[in-house]
Amino acid sequence: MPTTPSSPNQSGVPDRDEAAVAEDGRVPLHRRKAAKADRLAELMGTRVDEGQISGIWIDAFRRMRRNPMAITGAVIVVVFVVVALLSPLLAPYSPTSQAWGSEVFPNRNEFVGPRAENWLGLDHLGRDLYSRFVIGARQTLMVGVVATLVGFFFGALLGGAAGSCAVLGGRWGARVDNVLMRIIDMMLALPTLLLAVTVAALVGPSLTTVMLAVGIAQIPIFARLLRGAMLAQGNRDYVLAAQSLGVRKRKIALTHILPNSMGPVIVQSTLTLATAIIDAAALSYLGLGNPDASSPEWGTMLAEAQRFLSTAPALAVYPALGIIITALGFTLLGESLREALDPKLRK
Amino acid sequence: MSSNTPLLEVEELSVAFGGRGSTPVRAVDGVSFSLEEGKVTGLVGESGCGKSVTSLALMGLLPERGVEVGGRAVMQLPKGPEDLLSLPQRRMRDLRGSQLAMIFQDPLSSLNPVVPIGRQVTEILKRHRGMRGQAARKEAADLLHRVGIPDPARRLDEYPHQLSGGMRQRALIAMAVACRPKLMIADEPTTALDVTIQAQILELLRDLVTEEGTALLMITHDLGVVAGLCDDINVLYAGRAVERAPRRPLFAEPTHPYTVGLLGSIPRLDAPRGEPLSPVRGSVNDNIDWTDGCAFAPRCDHYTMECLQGPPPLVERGDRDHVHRCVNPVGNAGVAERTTLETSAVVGEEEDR
Amino acid sequence: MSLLEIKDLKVHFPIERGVLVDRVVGHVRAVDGVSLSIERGQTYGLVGESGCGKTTLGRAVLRLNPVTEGQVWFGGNDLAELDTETMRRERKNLQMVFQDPLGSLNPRQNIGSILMEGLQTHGIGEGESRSQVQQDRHNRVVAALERVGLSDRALKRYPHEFSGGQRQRIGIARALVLRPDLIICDEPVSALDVSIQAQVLNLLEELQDELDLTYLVIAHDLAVVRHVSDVVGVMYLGELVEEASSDDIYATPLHPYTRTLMSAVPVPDPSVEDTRERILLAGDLPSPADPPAGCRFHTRCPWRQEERCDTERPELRTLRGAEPGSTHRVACHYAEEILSGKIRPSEEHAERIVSGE
Repeated sequence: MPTTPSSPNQSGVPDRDEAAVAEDGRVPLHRRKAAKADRLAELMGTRVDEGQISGIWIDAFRRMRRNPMAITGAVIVVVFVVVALLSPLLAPYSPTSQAWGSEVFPNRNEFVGPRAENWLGLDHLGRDLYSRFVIGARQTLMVGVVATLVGFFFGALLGGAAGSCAVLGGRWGARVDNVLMRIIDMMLALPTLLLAVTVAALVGPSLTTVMLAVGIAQIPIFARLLRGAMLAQGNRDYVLAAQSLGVRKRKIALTHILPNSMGPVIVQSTLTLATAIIDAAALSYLGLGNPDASSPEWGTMLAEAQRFLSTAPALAVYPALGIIITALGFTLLGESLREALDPKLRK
Repeated sequence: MSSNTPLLEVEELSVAFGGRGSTPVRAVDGVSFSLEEGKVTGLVGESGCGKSVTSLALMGLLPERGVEVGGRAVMQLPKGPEDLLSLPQRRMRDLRGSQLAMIFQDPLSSLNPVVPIGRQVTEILKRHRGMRGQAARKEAADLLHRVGIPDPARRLDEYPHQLSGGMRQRALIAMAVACRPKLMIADEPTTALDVTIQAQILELLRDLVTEEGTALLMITHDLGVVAGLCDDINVLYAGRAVERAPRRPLFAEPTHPYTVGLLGSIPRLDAPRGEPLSPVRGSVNDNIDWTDGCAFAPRCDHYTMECLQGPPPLVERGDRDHVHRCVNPVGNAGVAERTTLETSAVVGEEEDR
Repeated sequence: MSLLEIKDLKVHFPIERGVLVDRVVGHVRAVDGVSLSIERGQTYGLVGESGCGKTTLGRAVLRLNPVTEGQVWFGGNDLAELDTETMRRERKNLQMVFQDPLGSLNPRQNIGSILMEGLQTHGIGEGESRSQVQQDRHNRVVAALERVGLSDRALKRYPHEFSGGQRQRIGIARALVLRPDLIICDEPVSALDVSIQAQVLNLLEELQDELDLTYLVIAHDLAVVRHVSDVVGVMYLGELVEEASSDDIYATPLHPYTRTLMSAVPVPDPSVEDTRERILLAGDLPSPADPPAGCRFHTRCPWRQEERCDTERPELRTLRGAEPGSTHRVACHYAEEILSGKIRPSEEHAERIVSGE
């Protein structure tokens, strides 16, 4: 007698007037039955959550909303993105205009600090530091996003191919997976900076170089992560169940294994945004970044400020703080997302 | 120790999880039982009934934050009776291993994977009995031999992954009995094991109890295991004991509908074939709050209006030993509404043949 | 003719070692020469402890594991010989119910999509237009859901919103919706609470009566298997050691391993528990990568005899002197002598034997 547990009162006809009659004690049996079923439904009703559709992501979002770490991260990221997108409107002056060039004499250690017209002061060429900082946010965001996208796309492609071959391909699949993973291992063995310097040396210093270099360095991380997640999912019973239903292998890989493996990869991309920003800054600092003064980048600004570190540390502090806080924002967001998606912490 | 004071007397133990903001979840709610030396007490129930939380509370292993433990658990220690629930953490650490020991369900995850078995045993001997060097090693080998591990001297140097599941559980038991604790708590000790290995481990536990006079608290979901091992049995449902009796009366004349339902749910090897089982309907999540009435009412086939008016008390049934928490127990239930239960009651009586 | 006939099935998994190129260093003989047949409308119960190869056998029938050797005859085809694509289509006639009800449902699919998948895959559904086909499929899914005791409100919900028992019902509905001839149930109840186990077992029996299903039930719990099965096969270390009707195997277990297994199953009744025979085996299961020569059970058998048990592998046979047509088969050289009590179990080969009254 299988019954749905959510409806244990088959006989219960909700009827309040008759339930009231039950109080005098001597009422027909069926009335008494209805009354008690009513009462039970009432007591259980408080805990039956009807039709609440919740998925993994909605759950994660609910959990993150209560997490101060996630909120902090989100606020930083939102502020950063808004500033970056609206930078032309926010910047009061052109980043290249040396309007106050006559007030700054680096060789005499004369710099101009914050004042009413230049909120963050002037740089060593007499340009408005605030305008450069705001415009730089846009460059930094672009480097981070494009580099992450490059890493994500190619990494997911490689890792997804390796993972689905390993899980579903049988003997040959295992071999393909083996070859792909050895290639990825080789990429992983190259230090990020070395790889970036090589790419930069081949293409010449530019923003594209930085984005490509940082992105390529992220490929093996994404690939390994996705492959690992796919292997773990491939051993789950639902994949076996799909196979025993007769679902085609390609479909199993795309509709079953892949969507369930994306969680860690998406978390990784928020974290990668942070590392990409730092890496890009490092590359620019090394002089591989965009030499064009009209689109300053925080890393380039930092590199330029280095010469005046002892006399005008503020020039270095602003871009450095920008990099640190932005990276922190993305890291906080990524970490809290990882935590919110962690199956061990979910109920 | 006088024979009339039990070794451990648990009174109204309650554990509530969750704190700030959300309403606390009462995982265990007023559970009372006692443990005597050389006797086995069983806690039986399905997932979520609070049996494991009970054991962790007694061992003082619950996290300190967000958990509220109430009630008393008075244990007769060498220096006089003390309430385990109110002892400071440091005292509990000394007691665990020496006076209290616990055996867990999964032997592999309860053993440290990178330390040889021998070291894990001698560590306990060192900590609680002050034994060192060769003496400790010899004692460890004796212990392994005692729990039926062949070739113990060689096993001392092996790592947990080199042992089979049954051997690991034996090693774990060896560690538990290393200091001859007065009280052992076994939390589903055989659930992860095969039946033939389960039989070996149960036999070992039985021997330890009769030979060493240890008191054993056996926590399991398996009524079959309980029937062969336990002297006293508590059936738990949604955090409260719903029936408590010595094993023979419990199996011969179960009175709480939940116990009856559980017994009716188990396919028995010796039962004639072809009869459908008579399970409890619904699932363990379909219950109401104990404060509103009997938590089992939604799954019970003959609940009445009385069942839904406040928490049912524990009632003695004839003799003192057999108590149940039911206002409408099987056996003297309202005749009109127990037709569906009739079949399982009949099965219950047939078992007594 | 039997619905499913397995002949001398072997599934060996290679053990590979190596840094760059894998070398095969041995084989795990998970299933090593099993023959059995299942009649239409029957339930065949396969019982054995972990590592005996029962799950591998079940999966090999569906070709979820590669078959090393042997034949699997089903509906006039040898499944072991079919190419991948034909096998994939054939799977609509053979379905499987899994042990872990949550793990076997994709957490990102709602119940409707889980149940619909099989129908879509095999293009099942009648109707002229697309929407009619859709409607027909929807009806089939709802019918299957109602069969297992759930309502169509479940369609839009996700697996984690259900209790363990309900999830297993969904797993059964997924198998049912294709109207298969054979359902392989791999430990269908062992992950469930006791009271839920009985519900699912009853459900399986009801469905069999209504839909004339054939089951291959794989479980470690002898009591469960005996309760649901018509024929019981006992496996040990990759081979079938005894096969008999459910009543016979309980009344007269012939193989020493079956006797031990039976004596180890606890019965929820103190008076039975106190008096029954208990045979405790010494030692553990040998590795299936290196199974013992001769009778596989001889290393742990309390009834073991000199010579023959160590060297000669016993065949699955009926008892000498059994009435013709007997279906009780056993793989033991000395089954007759053990049955008549001529050979007694020896204490030196077992850890302990507690004799019943």
